[in-house]
Amino acid sequence: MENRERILNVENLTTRFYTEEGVVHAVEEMSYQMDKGDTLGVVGESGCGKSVHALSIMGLIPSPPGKIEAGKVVFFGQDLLSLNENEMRKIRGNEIAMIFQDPMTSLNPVLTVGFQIMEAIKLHQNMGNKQARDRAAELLSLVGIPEAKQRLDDYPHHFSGGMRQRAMIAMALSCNPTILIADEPTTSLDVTIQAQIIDLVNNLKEKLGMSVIWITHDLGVIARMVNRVNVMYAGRIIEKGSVNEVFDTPKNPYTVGLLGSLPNPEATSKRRLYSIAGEPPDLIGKIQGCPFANRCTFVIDRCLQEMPPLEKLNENHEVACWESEKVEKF
Amino acid sequence: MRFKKNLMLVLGIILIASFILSACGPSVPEVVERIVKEQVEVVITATPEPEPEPEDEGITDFADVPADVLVKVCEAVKAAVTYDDDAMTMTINMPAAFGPMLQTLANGWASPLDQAWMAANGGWDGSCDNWVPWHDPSAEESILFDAANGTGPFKLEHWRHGEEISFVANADYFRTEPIWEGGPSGPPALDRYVIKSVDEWGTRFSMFEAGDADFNYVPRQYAEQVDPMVAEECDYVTEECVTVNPDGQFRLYKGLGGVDSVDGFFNFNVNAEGGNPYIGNGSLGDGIPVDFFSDVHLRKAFNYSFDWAIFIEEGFLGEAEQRLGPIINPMLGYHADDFAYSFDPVKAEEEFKAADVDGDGIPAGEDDEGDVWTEGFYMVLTYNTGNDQRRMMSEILKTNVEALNDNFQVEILSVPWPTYLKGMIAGHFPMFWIGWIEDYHHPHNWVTPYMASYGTFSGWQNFPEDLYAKYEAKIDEALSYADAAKADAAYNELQQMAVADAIDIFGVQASGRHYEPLYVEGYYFNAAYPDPYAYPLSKSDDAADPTTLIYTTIGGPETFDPAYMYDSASSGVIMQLYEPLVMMEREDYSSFVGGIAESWEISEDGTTYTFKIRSGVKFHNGDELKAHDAAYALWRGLLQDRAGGPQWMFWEPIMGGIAVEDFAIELANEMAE
Amino acid sequence: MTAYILRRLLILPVIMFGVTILIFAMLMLLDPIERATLYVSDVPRTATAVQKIIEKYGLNEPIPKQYIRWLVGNKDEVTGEIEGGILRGELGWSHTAQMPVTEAIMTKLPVTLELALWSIGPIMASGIYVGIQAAVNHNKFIDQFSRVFAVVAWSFPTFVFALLMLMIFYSGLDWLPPESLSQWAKNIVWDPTVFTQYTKINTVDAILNWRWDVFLDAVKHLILPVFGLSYLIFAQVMRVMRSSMLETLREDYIKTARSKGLSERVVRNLHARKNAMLPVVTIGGLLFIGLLTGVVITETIYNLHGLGRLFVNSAAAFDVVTLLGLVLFSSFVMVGGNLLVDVLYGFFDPRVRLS
Repeated sequence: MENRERILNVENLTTRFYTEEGVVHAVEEMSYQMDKGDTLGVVGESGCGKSVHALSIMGLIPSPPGKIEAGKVVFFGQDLLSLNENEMRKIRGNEIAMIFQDPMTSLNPVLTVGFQIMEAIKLHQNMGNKQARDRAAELLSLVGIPEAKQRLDDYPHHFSGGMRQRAMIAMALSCNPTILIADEPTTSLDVTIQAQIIDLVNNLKEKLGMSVIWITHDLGVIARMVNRVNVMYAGRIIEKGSVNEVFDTPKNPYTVGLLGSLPNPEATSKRRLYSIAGEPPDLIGKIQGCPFANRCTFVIDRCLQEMPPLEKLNENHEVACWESEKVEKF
Repeated sequence: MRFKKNLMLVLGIILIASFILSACGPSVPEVVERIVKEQVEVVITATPEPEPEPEDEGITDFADVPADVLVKVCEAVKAAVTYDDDAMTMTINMPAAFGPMLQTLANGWASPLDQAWMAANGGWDGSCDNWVPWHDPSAEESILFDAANGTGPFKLEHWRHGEEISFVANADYFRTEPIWEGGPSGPPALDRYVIKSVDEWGTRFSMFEAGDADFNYVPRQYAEQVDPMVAEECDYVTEECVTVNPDGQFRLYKGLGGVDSVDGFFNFNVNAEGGNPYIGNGSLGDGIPVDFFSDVHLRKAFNYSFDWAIFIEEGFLGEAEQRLGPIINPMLGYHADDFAYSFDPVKAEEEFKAADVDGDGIPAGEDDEGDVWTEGFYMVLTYNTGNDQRRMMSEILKTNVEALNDNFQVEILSVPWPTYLKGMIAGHFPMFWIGWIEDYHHPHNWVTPYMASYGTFSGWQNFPEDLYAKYEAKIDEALSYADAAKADAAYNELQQMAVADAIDIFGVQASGRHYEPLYVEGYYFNAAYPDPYAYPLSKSDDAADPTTLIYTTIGGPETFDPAYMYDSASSGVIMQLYEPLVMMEREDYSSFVGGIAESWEISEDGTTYTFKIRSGVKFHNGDELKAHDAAYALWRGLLQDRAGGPQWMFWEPIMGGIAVEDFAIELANEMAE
Repeated sequence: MTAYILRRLLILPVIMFGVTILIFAMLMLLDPIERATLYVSDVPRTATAVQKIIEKYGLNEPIPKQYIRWLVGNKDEVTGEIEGGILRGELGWSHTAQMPVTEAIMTKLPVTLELALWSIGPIMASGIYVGIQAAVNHNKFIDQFSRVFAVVAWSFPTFVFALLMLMIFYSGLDWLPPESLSQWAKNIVWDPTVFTQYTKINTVDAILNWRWDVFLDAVKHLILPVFGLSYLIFAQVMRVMRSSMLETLREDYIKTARSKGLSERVVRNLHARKNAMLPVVTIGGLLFIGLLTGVVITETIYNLHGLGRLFVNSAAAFDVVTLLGLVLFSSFVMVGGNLLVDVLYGFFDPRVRLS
């Protein structure tokens, strides 16, 4: 039994959005845990609630129209959802940091990169200008940007895509956060740069003793860098566990479908790319039964009536499916 | 793209360079001009020019008149107007008698000017060797454009163009005897008189109400806004007042005599060259032929279609009277019982039926082949944009004419003033509305513009030759009479001829109103002079500032030069600054009071006027006025008139002929032989 | 950056040249008689008056020849001197203003400038402030109020508003009079022995001459016209600021800023506002340029003698010389002003800066 520290315990997180068209059930009863040193992958298609759950943890859900209906997010003994705004701000950028998908739009175009990095430093660590500047330069070289000191005075549009993402990372790391939440950070980058960024995060994780939540829809990325994975569908976790368990022996039809739709570069025969039939459900209004039911090849009557709860298969594998025993990888 | 950009750049550099170079010396623009002129000359000679008139030998251009002739011209003028500084007299020698001579002189144009001061300040020094450089200046070239050294009750303090004109009292004003009975003498009671330009009625009105303006120009259509605040209504002659509203703050004078008119003019022969949109297709039915109004019956028909009663009521709140011909009321030649047309649809129809437009000898009412009564007509009646009175006149005429016959169509069109003026001058309009403001108070100044071939309006109407001849003969005759009764009879004949021939629709002569706060005293109105005249005015201690009187009005004067002024705003200013030779009494316009001239004599044959110039009069700068100053002013006016200026009024009676340029050319050609 | 500015400046004379050719071309529609009416008061009294005027001012010469003369000047045949000519810096005599065109512009521009300066500064500032407040408090009272105010402001014509203000505050309460100064203040300002007009802008000159009584009087007279101009500008600036701010607050980098733990105030004032201001800078610049070429209605109603009235009066009278001079001036202002706005924009937005 590993003696690892539990740093994050998400219990029953439920987030909804009250819009003119109706109530959007974005995140439903999400529960999972994270230990120190984990890299947790949160995987699923667009709109499955992965980003919303991360913003819920950070307290960045715009309210109205959003509302965190229920749940707890326990971080080092504190329920983040019960903190007021001032207290939450002390944690944001400091102990929990976040990086976002599109580095061009995620960096303020009219402020220098150096300034944006120094902001968090000066805010959370009470450093003077000179000190903060030195630290910012340090961070930039840490993420692999050459001539860091000069680059501090450049604007985001002076950086290339990959460099911008590195600068974002430097910004997020500036206060040595315990948890780094990365919301699809490589999605808008090209493949070679993707690899670099992933390696960078891995290295930094080791160096700084950080834990990472990596949100993506790209399974290839997951395979390379996470040790635990949550598979989400329609706002719910439908399978979770260690990445080996989940990827080698997926027990939820959706996970199977996801893995099956990966193109295989080593395939010898020509085969049409597999895709899961149907479309993800509309999140407005409560869904009865399993949300995947209308697309599932293993569906039974019970699936349409009741949502299956997460069942523990073993220490490192939980799955929510009535027919999980029957499910097998292609 | 790059080529275009560079081209623009190069052009920009060239323009800037030439600008800089031209600041250093005149060479570059000259070069450019020469080059371009040559090119333009080519263009011009390429376009066909109208055939030049076959020329006689000799000089035709004033610029070609040789210098010695010019000296002779000046000497001729000096011979006509002579002076004697010791005897303090000035004498005008005219070729023929001219009845209105004193009326003409009783205005600011003949005000004496300080010859020495003029010479010292860049004006003409009076010498015959060199007078042409000051001839025909632009308004701003005269040194008296915005400066003044006069003899009047006020001195010029400053003129901020477009904003205000400020006058201060002349402590050395010469007047020891009042101009009228009960009038003031000595320096003015006011310290300062200010004319302010405030174009917007709403603003003017609120200033008037607040007491920031003492006198205010109130256009007739806004009178009803001021009326509720009128405390008393007064008669300007008897000075008796009637209280109307004890809470009011203003005094109102009504029925102030007017010396202007608005009439309708027929064009006997429309100019259709190059197309004319005002006469339709140029023939009956969908237009009118160019000689439409040469038919007297049509002119009478239109007269009978005009409703004076409605026009006076609606346009003037009843404060106007119908004109009985070109001569206004009261004046020599005006008889109140003369015949005038009135609104009469029956007679109008008769006249239309009596017309014979197609010239076949058969009146339109009986013409089976068709004439104006059966075919109808279409014409465009114009007025200048913004003039509500002329618009009203157009609408009245249109309504009544069209009511007589379904085929009669009169379309009303408003055009901007410059276009309107051009249309009248060029003879495009079949009919036009315009008014006359008199130059001086004598019937000659009314009959000439309405009836002579060289008259301002009649000149645009294209009367047949014999009609002009008939009128001009009578005009000359009337002018020759020194006896008032004979003149009156002759002018009255002209008055009646104009109406009988229906050359115009004689409109109305309006009377004016004057509003002032109760604390203003001394208001004196003389129709022959511009209003207000600040000299007799004063403010009681009830006023916030009893020393300054402020008059808010629209527009502004063109110039302060008495020899060149020809608009009412300018004459309103010059009235305060310059004393005329003589002034007209308002009780009897053939009776005069001395100004700079203390007395005068007219020879029996009426060709010589001798004025005794007052001694001890000082110009504003302190120089003493001498007889030569009075003569100098007249020489200057005669020799150095501007294009479109007022000096023709002096040149014709004093020197004969049209103007100085023509005189010079004639003399040059004579001397060449 | 300097190369860019220089290039823009060099094209300026080409544009000005082009504009004047355009205006001159429109002249071809006018008859010489129509142009002569400018120099005739009322009606020409003699038959030859109009013809003499036409000859004297060269109104019947071919249009290109008139243009060349206007451009390079007139050689007086008698004295041999050259006078006039735009390229020699002489804009001619303005019959409408009764002074040289250059003097007319120099005298009337400060009036318009004073109005523009006093309107733009405080109005931009308050428009920006209220716009931000409206955006941040989306759909709350301040937002509703500002939207209603904007609609009302746009629907209320300037001249009605101006006259109404005059009636209430001048005729009614006698607090705020029209014109630029009281008579006593005017007498001081126009007296060179006690007062030096450095800029001809009354408020500025009053301070420079250390005459606070004149300054206060000028301010008192500015209140109504500035207010009459401002409410519309305020509405426009506020609307643009509000929608720009709303849009900016939705941007990703705002999310990033919040995720760093920055307070809402810092996020709003530092991160959002600087970006949201960009369209407002453009609008503000264009509004100011528009104000510089004169606001006729305000000037007429409050009897201020600025460029707007000169424009209108000279256009109505077909005073070609004045019009050409004014058009030159305003195209200069337009091009120069636009250039300034572009440079200013670059100052605010580093993406646009050209290096």
